[in-house]
Amino acid sequence: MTMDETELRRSTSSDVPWVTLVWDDPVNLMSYVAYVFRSYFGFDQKESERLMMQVHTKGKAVVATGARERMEMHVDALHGYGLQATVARADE
Amino acid sequence: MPFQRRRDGLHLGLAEHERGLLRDLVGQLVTLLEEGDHADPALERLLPPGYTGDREAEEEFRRLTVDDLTEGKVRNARAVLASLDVDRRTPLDAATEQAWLRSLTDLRLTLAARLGTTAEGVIAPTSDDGRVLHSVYEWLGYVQEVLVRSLSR
Repeated sequence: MTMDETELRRSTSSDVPWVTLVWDDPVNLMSYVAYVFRSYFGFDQKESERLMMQVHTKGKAVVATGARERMEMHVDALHGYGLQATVARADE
Repeated sequence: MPFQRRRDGLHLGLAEHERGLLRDLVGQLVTLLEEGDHADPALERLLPPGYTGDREAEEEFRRLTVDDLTEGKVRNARAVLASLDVDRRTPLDAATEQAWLRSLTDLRLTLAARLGTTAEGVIAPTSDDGRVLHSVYEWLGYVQEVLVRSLSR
């Protein structure tokens, strides 16, 4: 492998950001899910409601994007709130 | 009302029989978290996977997080149990409000796993025992809705 190839490989794998996904579940109250988005991520009411409705109607929503470790931290925190959340690559 | 907002903070306004029911349910939640079988659907829902479709990443994430996540849920449950025995004139502190919020969620997730769910919601039971469980589940939803509204103001 040449130097260029290694460089290229490294840049493509680290440039793809990671996301935090929240999945719809039939149990959690809509008001509660919006509350979690507001209080944990600090989104305003309108954005929290929009994301909550997206989870509810589309089945899932991206609620954060960034470094993998940070997304894992979010997912762990959201599990603490009882939400179904997963880490994924942004291009998945 | 299960929760009452007063000038000095949020108060528990539950009737004694409701407190008794919650003591029982939250006590069972602690037992489930501390001694439950990890193949139990209720525990699977309380401690869900952090990745889909990447077994290795999921196992690693679980290994790093599951103990703290479980302990956190047990701590919340114990804080709720403790607050049920506090003088009614004392308002809940912020940490206890959060413990209630999360434990109510964990209780509803647990009962929903027992009742069974579809994409639409929990399955309406046909047995007498199931109907009792279902009405408790619905009541917990009401209690949580009141709490969320109290905290959103």
